[in-house]
Amino acid sequence: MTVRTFMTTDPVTLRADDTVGRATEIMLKNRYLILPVIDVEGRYTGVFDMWDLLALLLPKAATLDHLVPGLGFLADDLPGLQQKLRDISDQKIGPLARPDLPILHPEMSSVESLLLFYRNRSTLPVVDEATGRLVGVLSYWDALAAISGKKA
Amino acid sequence: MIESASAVWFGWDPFWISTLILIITYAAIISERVNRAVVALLGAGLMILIGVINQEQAIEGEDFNTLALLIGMMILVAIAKRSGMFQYLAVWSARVSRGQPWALLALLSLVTAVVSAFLDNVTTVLLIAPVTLVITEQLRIPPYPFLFTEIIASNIGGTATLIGDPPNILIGSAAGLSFNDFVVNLTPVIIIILVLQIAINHAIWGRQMKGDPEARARVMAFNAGEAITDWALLYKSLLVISLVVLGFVTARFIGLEAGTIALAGAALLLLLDCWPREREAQTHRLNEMFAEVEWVTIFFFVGLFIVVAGVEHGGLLNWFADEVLSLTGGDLTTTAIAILWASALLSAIIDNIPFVATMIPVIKNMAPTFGGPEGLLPLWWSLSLGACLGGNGTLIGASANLTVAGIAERAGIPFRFLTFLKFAFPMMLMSIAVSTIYIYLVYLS
Repeated sequence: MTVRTFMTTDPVTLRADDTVGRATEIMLKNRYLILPVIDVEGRYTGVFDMWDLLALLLPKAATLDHLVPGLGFLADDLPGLQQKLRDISDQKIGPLARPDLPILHPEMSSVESLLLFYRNRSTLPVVDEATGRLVGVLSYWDALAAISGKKA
Repeated sequence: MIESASAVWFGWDPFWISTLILIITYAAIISERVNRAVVALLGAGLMILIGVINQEQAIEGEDFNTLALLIGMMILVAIAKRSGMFQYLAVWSARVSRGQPWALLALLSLVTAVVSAFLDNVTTVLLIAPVTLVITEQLRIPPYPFLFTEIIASNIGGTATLIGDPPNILIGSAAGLSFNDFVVNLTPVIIIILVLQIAINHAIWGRQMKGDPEARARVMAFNAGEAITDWALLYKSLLVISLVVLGFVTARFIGLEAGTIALAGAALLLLLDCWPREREAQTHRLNEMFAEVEWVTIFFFVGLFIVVAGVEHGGLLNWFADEVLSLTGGDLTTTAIAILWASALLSAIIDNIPFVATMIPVIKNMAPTFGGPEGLLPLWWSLSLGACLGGNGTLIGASANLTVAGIAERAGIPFRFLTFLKFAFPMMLMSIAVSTIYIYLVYLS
């Protein structure tokens, strides 16, 4: 069993010129935690996930390692957060795409993909090695369903 | 010097070979191609291997008091900072300044300087600068002036006490100067320099910055108490830190070195912190704390002490002391002022730790000219003021400067060498000018 046999083809993706606002919409509507980002030719460039989105809402310094122990001293400020969400919603996804997540290849073995799920705790993109195009995504739900013989 | 000469390889002259090793070590440290701790340890190994000094002389060269003081303070800070007490101080400053940027700028300088007088400068800015970024973002004001003044204040504050900056630890340990000696002799001039510095910061940045009322309201709503993450640990830390400072102040009277006091304090705080935990959790916690000791710095010192012992035995430092004295005509005033300015200018460019470690035996060698160890006091204070304050001259002048620049760049705030230099270098010259007047009036006239 290889990655190709149980990956989700034709996944929901973001394009480099999509906005953070659109990513937020997709995530909220589908409860997706992570979205692959592709360029105009359909090549995979990285991912944009829930934690990247949350980081944009937080004070920048608070997201650097653990240099700031906590933000408990800030007063609750829902209007401020709402304003911040509006401020970032026009930002383009392209520069925000994170290329550091490992990628799967269609011919990879299922055990190898399990190990990568275990290590990264995230849905992973499946990329064709020759063309660099995104051919699908694989989630741990897909993997578990395939192994148990039940539908995800 | 003589007894080791016969042991040197091929009968090489220990003077020249030790000088060569020192120059190569310095060059390698400056080039930053290899970590400075590795360079210093290699230089130390060479000194012994080639036979400039033997192993016993190498061990005699180690200043265990300095090592103990550094390690002890690093452990104390590693534990105490987990209580959130330093973040509390920054948040408290924001509250007290009522969100007025000019007041915040002055207050954060003051807090940074005071904290830095008791902690390592790098640790201080690592604790204060990130919270500063959060606060300035809330206030919607540019963070650069704040980060800049925190660098300057940390280097100024660090000069004020025995434990504030590694050069002072080195000088205090080697010259037998106590915590109180530093407080009595250096703290007054540091207060003057800090006040001037805060006034200059205000003139350049503070008076122009305006906080909009909405942003100020956000700061007024800060709850500083929430910045404390562990109250029990806060009380334990404050108790032990008070005991350690009490120990420093009474060190002469109780006959203990600062290193002994700091390490004993560290052990006590480790005990208080570990006591309530299960045995395995204790081991885990202990590993975490020990990992926070900056071993690179410690091993850098370990190697450096041996390299300096090598050039001392080789005769270089004695020769250099004679040269300096012949240049200054053996005049105490000229020598003190020359040391002050040379230390400041050199420390703005190179790491002040190897410089001070090398200068200490040089100054000790001058004792006969100035009527014994007592006569050297103005020279020790000149070395300390020059080496510590000189670090403010450029962005690479002190580790705290680079630490802040690193945090700023990662937070998306450009921190450039020349931009920093434009204000920092004249400010450094101001502090050295004030130090010159102080040294002259108090010790030389």
